[in-house]
Amino acid sequence: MDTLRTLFHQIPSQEASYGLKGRILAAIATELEKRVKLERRAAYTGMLFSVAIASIASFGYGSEFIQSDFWSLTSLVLSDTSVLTGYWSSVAYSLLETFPVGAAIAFVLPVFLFLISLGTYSRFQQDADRYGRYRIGNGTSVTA
Amino acid sequence: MSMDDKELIEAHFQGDVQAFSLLLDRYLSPMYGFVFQMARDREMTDDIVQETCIKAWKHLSGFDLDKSFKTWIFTIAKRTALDYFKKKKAIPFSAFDDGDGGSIFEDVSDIREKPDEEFIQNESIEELDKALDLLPEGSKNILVLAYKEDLSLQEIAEVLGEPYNTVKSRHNRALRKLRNIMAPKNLTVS
Repeated sequence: MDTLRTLFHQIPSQEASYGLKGRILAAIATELEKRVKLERRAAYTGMLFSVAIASIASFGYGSEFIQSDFWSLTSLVLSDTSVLTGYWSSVAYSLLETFPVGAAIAFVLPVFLFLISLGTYSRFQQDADRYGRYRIGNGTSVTA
Repeated sequence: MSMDDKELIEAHFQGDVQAFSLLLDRYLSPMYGFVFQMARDREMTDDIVQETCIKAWKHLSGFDLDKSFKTWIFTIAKRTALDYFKKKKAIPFSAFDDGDGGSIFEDVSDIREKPDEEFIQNESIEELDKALDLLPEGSKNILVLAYKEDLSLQEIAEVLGEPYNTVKSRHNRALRKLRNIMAPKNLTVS
């Protein structure tokens, strides 16, 4: 007398084809290699773009920013802090009114892009390291 | 000491390159058997299982560690198989169709959760294997997942992407069909 479960366990299973595990690991290694290349490309492109945007921003908005009312007010805050503290609310409003939104975006954008690229570069290094160990660790089974 | 699935997955994320290989050692054969039930062709099964494993590796970060890895990978295998059949237009009939035209809304209130059916083994295991081949694919899959792969009905429902009660009633019908096929051969389900 056997339970249904016991009988099912006695039915011979279809064994996986010879070398299937090796082929799977090889396919995963290929996927990892593709990912590593993509991350490297994305990281370097991002960094390059951020430097390019930063250069364009400095040329395009640099002089404009230095000559702007916002910069004059900011310089005043730095040089005559004690005088301006008495009028701090007016100064704050003036700073807000004269804030150069376009220039700020042009300067902040490359910084963000650079930080994102650094993150991608860090992922690339981790995956590249894993890929190296994957090839060593599963090297024999890849061809099994 | 052998690591459980959760520990292996965590080791994989910590950079242990052998961890996924150990997971494959554990689940490759059961998955292969499950996919072969649907594909009935070793070449197709190889392709589907390979694709399933790559998908599992790619999406492992999205796996909920509190859930069963076996259920998760079987679910991926089932979806991959269906996609593969659709692409190849190779499936002769739906692998998950009940095939007997019975209503899925039949009364399930009196059905026990995976009753421990007893068989009087007058015939060989091959007879059971042959009887299983006579069942519609959907019924056979449920029985194989329940009794060979030891998945609960809730887990089978997750793998097949169907409501629990539907799986429960189909499981009951599958057992009845198996009983009907095996009864004339003196192999009884009591």
